Amino acid sequence: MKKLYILIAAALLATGAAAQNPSAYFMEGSTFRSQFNPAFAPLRGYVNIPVLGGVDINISGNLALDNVLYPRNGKLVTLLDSSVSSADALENLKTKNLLGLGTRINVIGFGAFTKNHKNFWSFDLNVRANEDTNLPYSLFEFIKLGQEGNISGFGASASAYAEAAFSYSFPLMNDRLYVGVRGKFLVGLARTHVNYDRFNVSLQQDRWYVDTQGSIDITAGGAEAKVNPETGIFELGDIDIKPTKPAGYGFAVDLGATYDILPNLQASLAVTDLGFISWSKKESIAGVSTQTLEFSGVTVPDDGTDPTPDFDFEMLKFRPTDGKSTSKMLRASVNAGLEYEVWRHKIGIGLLYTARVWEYKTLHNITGSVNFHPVPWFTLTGSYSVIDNRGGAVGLALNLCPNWINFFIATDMLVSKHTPQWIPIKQSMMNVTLGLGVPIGKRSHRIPAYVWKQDKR
Amino acid sequence: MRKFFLLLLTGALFTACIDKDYDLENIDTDNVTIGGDESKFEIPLAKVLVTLADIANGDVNIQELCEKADKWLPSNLPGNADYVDLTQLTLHSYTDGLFDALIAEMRSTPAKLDEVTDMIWDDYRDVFASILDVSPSPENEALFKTAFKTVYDTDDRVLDEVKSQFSGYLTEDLNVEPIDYNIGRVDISDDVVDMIADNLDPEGSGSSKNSLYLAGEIASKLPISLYLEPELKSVPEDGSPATTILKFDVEVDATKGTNEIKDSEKTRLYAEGLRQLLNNAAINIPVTLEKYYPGKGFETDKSQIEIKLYLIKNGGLKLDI
Repeated sequence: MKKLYILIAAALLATGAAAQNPSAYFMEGSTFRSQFNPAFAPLRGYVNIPVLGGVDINISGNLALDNVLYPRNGKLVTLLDSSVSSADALENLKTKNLLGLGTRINVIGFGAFTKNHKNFWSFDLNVRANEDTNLPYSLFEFIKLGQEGNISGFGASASAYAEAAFSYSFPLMNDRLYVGVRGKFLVGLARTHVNYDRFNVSLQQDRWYVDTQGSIDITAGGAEAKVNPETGIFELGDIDIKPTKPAGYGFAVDLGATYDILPNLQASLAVTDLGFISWSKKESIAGVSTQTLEFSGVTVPDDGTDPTPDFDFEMLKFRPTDGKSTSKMLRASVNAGLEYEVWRHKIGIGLLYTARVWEYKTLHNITGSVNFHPVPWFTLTGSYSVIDNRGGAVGLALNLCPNWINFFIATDMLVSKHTPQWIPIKQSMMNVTLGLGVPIGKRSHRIPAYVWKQDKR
Repeated sequence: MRKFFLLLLTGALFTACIDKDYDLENIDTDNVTIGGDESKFEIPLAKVLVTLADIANGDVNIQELCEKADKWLPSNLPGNADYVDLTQLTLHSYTDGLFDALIAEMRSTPAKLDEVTDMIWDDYRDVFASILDVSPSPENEALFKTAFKTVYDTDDRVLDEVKSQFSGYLTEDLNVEPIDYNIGRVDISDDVVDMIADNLDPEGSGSSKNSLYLAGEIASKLPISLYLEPELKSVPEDGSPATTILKFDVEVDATKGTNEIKDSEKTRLYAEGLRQLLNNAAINIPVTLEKYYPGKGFETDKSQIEIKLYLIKNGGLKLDI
């Protein structure tokens, strides 16, 4: 039980979720934008600075920090603290409380326009990691109220992989439609999935009862579990991995299109991360944790029945099962945008809908933005996002791409109330995206207002 | 200067949004619990099953004791009472009333006279032999019984002896010895024990915010109301003398289905007491018989008294993370 709470506490304190930074979507001209939709292209070819070319860190979900941490008597306590009443603690929780983390680091990236200045290709080598956790309401209800709990579907999953991606986009229908596709070869580095399908607890006067069923599934290079020879079980601390070699391979595509409905009104639609990784059986370990214990007190005098095992809440102890190869879908996203340009393409008004498929739930997000680009090499975006029908976040994004540098940064942490450690307190998402590169090669002719004078000749 | 003010404004905007109450370096996880200050948990502890054989005076169990008492007692109690108040038997006025009713029934009811006469022959013939001047040898049984029936209420010496035996039985023989059981170790893991014990208010603190009590209920099938004084004792494994963990008292009313053991200061447990109780404890139950209901009779099920004991924990269950 103690380990379970450590796990929950760690999840509450350390994580958030996996998405893409919506403030960056309308950051016209940035080299990162095509990650949302492969039909997008920057204003010029580029070579990214290795590792710094595109760093994207997303924490989101449907839990804000002030849902899990409470100031009490000069200290900051978790909602599990006895001083936090059950009414306060449960008031803002959802049926499924999602916490997740997503990161993408561009190790190598470059791209260029073809001779016609409209077709664009790029290559990226990225390292990505995703983690998402589901902590159901019933779990917190049990912890705060005690007595009874019928909890299901709580756990966490995480994966890390490298992707080598080649992207190509091109115009159709007299440049009104741009279609883009990105093919990705994926190399799985590690994955894990810990889940409890059933965790029933009853703490009543005549009976304390625990019935749990969980599983763990880990794939990583050199994964090995040291099973206790006496008990035949292993714990999390008994797992050793040496992720020095691939643990799986996969393939994915991003498909996207933009369409100019009117000269100043562009619609965009993309599906990203549509694919899978097939994880190796050889590098997998798996285990199940089942426990059914009942304690109704001792009978005095002893009635001669066999002694019962100690009643405890011990969790996260697993009996090994055969590892198996498994194919896991990536966390696919749908991005649908609409942007209207006014004042000779100097101001854009955008609307973005994103949906991201999580392990436990699909999260929806709507973002409105105003985008200033008084000159082609400068874009400043202000945005407001509403996440899963609850409070949102104000975001700011900046893209600078003069002749000698590409620099972009986007975040929604600036104007929100935050901790001294810069973690937002009331908003359930936090995004930081930044990148640095060098513009080279041909310039884009996709936006007539931006066609360079020398190219017009 | 303009740039400076712009920078100052930006800095002010950012720092104004910092909430120092949410300093993540100041997180306190010392008081994490299941439930909260307002919670109340009940934890099953033990079920003590007391059989007929356990409630005994020497080799004679309570049923046998009462069957003999039935012979001594009149079929209809004075004032048509339902029960014999065993606590009043030391009062002559109460005993005299019962005895007078017994003699009256013996006079009016040959069957009762036969029953008492048979008992006198079976259990007291040596005492009465000299008074009746009849040898207590088996061949004289008929002679002995006839002599007794003839003079039991006319010969003062016989009547006094009958009354003496009557009183002696009801006040001295109709008692039971304390009941002793070894509870042994309760199969709860140390982690769970820590959850219950770690945040208990210490003894002498005067606080009952995080407190622990023993409570329970007693179901009795006996036709006797009882007064129990259970004493839970810690039994050290090294053989040193047992020490009292707690002692309380409870009335068991024979007319009630269950009798509650209420949580009170007498049944309050502190951390050390809980650990002793769960580790290796014994229970000693002195029993006082209070009211006997002759008409109720005995049920011959295996257990006559079932004592369910549980713990009541006020406040959350502590989690040490």
